[in-house]
Amino acid sequence: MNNGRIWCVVKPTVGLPLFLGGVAVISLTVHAAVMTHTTWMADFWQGNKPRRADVQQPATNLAQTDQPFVVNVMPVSGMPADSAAFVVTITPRGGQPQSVTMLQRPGAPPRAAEAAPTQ
Amino acid sequence: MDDLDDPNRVWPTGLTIKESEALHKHVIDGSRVFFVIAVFAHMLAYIYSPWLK
Repeated sequence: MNNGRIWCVVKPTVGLPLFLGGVAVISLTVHAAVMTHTTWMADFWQGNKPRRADVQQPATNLAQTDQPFVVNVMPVSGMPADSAAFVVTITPRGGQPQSVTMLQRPGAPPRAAEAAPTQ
Repeated sequence: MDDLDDPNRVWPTGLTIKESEALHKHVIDGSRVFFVIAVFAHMLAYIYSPWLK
């Protein structure tokens, strides 16, 4: 048996708790990370489907073709009934597209939630 | 168990090679059982939870 003689040099009273404890610690660490660093796990405990901000297609192209940029407005589905969200993407001709998420809540003016360049 | 002055005993632990291999067989068997249960549990988690979807 491979490594069967290990217990001649490693005390079983030390090696076995170390081995079993190591497995337990690694397992608990990985599972705790999954529990605390994901959104879908909390949703799953609550019996909900995972939150997904699906951008509806097709996007609306607002720019004229002779402009040096293209503007796309994409509504985000899955929002609460009294709210709306849009992803506005501005793509300069030959440049990097820049996206801004616009949030519309009742009684509040529209505001940009985040601006993130998209690749 | 053999006597403590058994010349087959290996130190520092004092187990014989036979005893060590017998113990190691239990460790390996336990690991296999753990592995099978873990694979089964991960299959259930994959099927019934949003994990990896």
